[in-house]
Amino acid sequence: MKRKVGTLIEDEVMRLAKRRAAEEGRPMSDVIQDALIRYLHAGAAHPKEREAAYNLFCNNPFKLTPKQFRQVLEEDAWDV
Amino acid sequence: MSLDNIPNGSLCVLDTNVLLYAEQGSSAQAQRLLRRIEKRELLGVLPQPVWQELTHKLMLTEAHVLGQITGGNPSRQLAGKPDVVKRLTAYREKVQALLTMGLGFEACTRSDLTEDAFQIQERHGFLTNDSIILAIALRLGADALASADGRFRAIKEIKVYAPTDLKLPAAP
Repeated sequence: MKRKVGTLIEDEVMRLAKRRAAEEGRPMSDVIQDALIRYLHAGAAHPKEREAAYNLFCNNPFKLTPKQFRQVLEEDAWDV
Repeated sequence: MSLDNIPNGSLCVLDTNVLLYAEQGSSAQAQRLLRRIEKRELLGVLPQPVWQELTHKLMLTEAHVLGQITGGNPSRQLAGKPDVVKRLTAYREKVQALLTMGLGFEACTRSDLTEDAFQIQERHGFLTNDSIILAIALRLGADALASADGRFRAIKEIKVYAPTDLKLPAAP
């Protein structure tokens, strides 16, 4: 679903965005959206890396006995 | 409400216990919540106190598994074994995996610590860490707090979701 937004953008940036949209034959909103998506995803892990991270955390548990797990749950991190 | 009821698109703050239940496979709901975060169906955030407590508890867990601590007061035992602590690495990979998975981290601000958490303590009577977690959640405008801690159920400022499918180790 697309939503109309109002915001302020520098004239020069708008001029460059219009030119790029014209060169590629696309609506300017597509150009702006692509740029925003790239910015928001910069530095984020690849989906396969994210899945591997999930598997490492959830599918390779430390082998605790029930008693040990209880102890970890009840441990007060400040009580040394 | 169960963890499965957290709507897609929510900004969700997670408590330490939910992460430990997910890691140990004690709650399928907790694991599904992390899966949804990994798939970007919702945004998960770890406040600094949760990060610290989780890191500490996973470190103790690894030490337990390696047989480096036995019996009571595991923190004190491990504090007396710095050479063992230096060699623990698996817990760090687990913590790092949470970041790679897409969980966000939110540090405490001065205002969280010196103003908001105190006000929360006055209103709810929470201990320090729980007050700071809630202060951070409210500052972020979080939609949901995921915690198995029953003390959070009384709060009205944010919706609290808990795992309702816990498979806990039996008490001695």
